[in-house]
Amino acid sequence: MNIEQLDGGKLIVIIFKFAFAFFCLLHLLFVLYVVRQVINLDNLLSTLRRSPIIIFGFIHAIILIIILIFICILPQ
Amino acid sequence: MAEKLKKHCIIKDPKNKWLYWFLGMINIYPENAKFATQNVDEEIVIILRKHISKNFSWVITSIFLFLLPIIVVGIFGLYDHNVNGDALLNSDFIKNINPSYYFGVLLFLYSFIVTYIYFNFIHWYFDLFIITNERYISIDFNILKGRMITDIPLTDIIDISEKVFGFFPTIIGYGDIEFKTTSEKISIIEKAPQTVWIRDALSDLIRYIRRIKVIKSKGGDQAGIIINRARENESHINKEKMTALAGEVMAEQRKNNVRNNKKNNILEP
Repeated sequence: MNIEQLDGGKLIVIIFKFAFAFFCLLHLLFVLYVVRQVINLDNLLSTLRRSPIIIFGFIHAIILIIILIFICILPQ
Repeated sequence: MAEKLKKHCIIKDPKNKWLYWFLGMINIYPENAKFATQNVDEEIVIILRKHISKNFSWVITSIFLFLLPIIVVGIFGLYDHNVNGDALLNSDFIKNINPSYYFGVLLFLYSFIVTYIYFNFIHWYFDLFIITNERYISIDFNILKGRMITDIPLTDIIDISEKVFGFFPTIIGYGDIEFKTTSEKISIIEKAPQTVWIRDALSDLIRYIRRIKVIKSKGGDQAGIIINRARENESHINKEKMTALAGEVMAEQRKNNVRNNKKNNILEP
């Protein structure tokens, strides 16, 4: 699709979707980075309950992937 | 060692012990607690976290962010209705936007709020202060910067001070515990709960550890064994008895030395 053929509204939608998807991806990477940091805290203290925090982080990451897919399939 | 400390009441229980334990702020003599760099005879005596009120700011921010869409729509709706005569909400631009876009933006906002809560909770939860029978360990966990672990032997701590400044610390009951070490290093437990108790417990523990160290170094292993035996027999530690006992052990050792010297024909200096 030639960008010159697009009207202003469609261009805004594309930029919006692209920015939205980009920030969602950054967000996803950040959550995975935090989860990784928590996983790295192995043996820090045996009484710390890390597993619910890690599971929550992974569930959140999955939700973010679903949001990313949702953004990609949004109508033009 | 922790059992002995507990038995001899070296550290008193804090006020509302179970409430503070439930909120994760103070855990005294934790059972089966182990950490990565634990030595053979080392046992955890106290685990501290910053006061739970440290979380109030991000909880309030999260509630505000959660309600933000309602506030924004409400304010714009009112403004548009009263000032513009619904010109903005009835405009073609707004009407042409697919509703799924609103849904997407809302999903993104709420996922951001969840991450914000997750991030802040982890920051509080993994920021720990561990006091063992040998050392003080501070784990400053910052997700963005990384982690900084400070490890100070208890016998190196020379000066403990408590700082409770301001309205909220006085009302809620938290403050900073600051201590200097022999190497002039200053370490701070920020926003610590029950500052008076922590200062008292730390100084009592340090005094106890120092006394044991001095007695052991002067009287040798024999003194340590005798003191341990005495401590096992006593239900409550008595400072005067301990000192007297150490004196007896040292005197006994001196006698033995004199006897050995006489045997070996060595003159006393």
